[in-house]
Amino acid sequence: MSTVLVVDDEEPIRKAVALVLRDAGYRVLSAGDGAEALARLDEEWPALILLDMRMPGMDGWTFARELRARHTRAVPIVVLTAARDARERAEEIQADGFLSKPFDVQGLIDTVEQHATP
Amino acid sequence: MTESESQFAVLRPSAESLHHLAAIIESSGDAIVSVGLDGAITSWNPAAESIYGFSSEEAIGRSIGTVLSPERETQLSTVMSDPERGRSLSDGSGSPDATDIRSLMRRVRKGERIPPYVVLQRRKNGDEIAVSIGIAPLVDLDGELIGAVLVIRDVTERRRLEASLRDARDRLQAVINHAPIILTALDMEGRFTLLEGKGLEAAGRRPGALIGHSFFELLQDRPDVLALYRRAFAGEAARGRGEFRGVVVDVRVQPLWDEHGVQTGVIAVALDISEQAEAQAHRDRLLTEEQRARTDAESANRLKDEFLSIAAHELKTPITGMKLYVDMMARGFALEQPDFVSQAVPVLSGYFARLERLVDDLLGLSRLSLGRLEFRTQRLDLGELLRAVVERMGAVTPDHDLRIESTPALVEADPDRIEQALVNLVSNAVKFSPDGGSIQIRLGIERSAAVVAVQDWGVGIPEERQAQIFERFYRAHEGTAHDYSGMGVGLYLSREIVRRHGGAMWFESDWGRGSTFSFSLPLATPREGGVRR
Repeated sequence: MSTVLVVDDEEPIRKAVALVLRDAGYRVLSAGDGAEALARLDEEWPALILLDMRMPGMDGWTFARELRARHTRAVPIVVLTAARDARERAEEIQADGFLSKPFDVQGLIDTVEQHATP
Repeated sequence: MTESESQFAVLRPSAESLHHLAAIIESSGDAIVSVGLDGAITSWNPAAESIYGFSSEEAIGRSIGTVLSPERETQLSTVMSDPERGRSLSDGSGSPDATDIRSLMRRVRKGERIPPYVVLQRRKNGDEIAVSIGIAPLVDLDGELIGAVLVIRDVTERRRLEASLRDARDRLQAVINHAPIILTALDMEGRFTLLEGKGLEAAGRRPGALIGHSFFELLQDRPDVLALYRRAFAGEAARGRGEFRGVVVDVRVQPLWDEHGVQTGVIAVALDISEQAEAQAHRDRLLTEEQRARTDAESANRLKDEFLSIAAHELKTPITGMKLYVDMMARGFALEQPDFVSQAVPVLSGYFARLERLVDDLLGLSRLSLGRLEFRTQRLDLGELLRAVVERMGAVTPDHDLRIESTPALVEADPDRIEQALVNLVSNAVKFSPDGGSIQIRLGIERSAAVVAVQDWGVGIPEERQAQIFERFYRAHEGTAHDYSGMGVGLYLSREIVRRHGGAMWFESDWGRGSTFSFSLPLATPREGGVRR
């Protein structure tokens, strides 16, 4: 069972994503900002990180930088963004993919299936 | 040979010398005229003929007075007494006292010589001429006075030349006197030899006043100007700009040389360019203003673009949540997990409320900037409105305890707009208390106003950002760890709404300890009829 780390400051969205992914058979960890996410990584290494970019506290850009500074081990990242240029956002932090907000249940499941390392 | 004969032989000129003399007189450029004691002309050379236009036949035998001054005494005396027209071109020392040729002739008969003097006369054809006349007694070989010799020179042309020179000089002087310049000449010791020009007035100096004074002493506190002149004293032309008592001048300084190439001093022309300088300063100011306006417009444009991007993001967040929850329900999550509905409903209500607030703020903002924010004012109890708002908001903020203390307060207000302001203050209090806790909402009466205060114990506002808190698009927590959502519109709009109701909005805040936002609305005046009945 693959683990997915969901990083988003919107609690209802975190909850919904977790519900959907658990229902799809994933183990889900969640964090409200970058700093919390880094702490989770010390506990468990996920198969994929779903990362919101604009967050109070440590934002997505800083998190990606910190992640690479602290860990040599690779982990796929999919950016969750409401930005029009979602692809550009993903490229900014060398993410593996992006999921544009708003997204639906199927889009979420497909994206996670595509990027989560087995 | 008798004694008289021998004397005659000694004194009488030879025929040759007489002939010689006659030739000189004939070819002289000056009129040479002799008259007898009776004033009748006895000789009239060709020059006299050409000056006056009378032939010798016409002239000889006539009275000198009628030929030389046909206009007679009145005419001549008028000329002579007119200081401008009759000004003597000789040095003036020999000016005759009397004015007509006859009285002069009387003086000559007494043996007096009349040095050359200048008078205006008329030729035969009536043309005015200026002539210089010198008169000497004429004696015969025995020393007996037999008449007078007049040597007359036509000075009309010279006089005209001199007059035109004088004119030119006067015009030049007038130009210098009226031109906005200062003309200065200095000798090699730096003393003024010339100081002229209208520009002096503005500098508070009179023309010529400083002649003989030292330029270097006068300007010892102006090393910039002195440096300019020193270059000219060293033989080099120099140009610079100076300012004296508010007068801006463009100065050109040139060395001055005599005909042998020896430097004798310097000459300087200072042109008053105060007006141009002022005009230039004015243009510079306009340019600066224009640049500032352009920068302002550009930054306003950037601000607008930024705002639109933030607003789009703000709208997308609740839409993302709503879409996800609705989609989950559609896929049967509610059936599989019965408590999902009880979780989803408040979330969806919260998102709806957030969307509604965003749309209200956007509409309010757009109406405000178009000047179309209108109010449908009615008499209402602010306390009642407050309770309704708090009750509704309490339902969608489960993590916060909204406490209310209120009193009835009648105001004249637009309930929708005041609600908008209230909702903004309360949702800010909730948003900036991320750890939950209580929000205190109080309504009291102070003097003749209803005062609402919304207090939280959340993150507060950084002190250095407090001054801008009510500015449009200003987001006080941008870039801080508490950079929550928001368009930077709520407080701006709320304060405008309150102000347009005749009230005021203010706040107190401690960074890290929370904020209290308050506003006042004037109490409605009691209805006169209504109170009595």
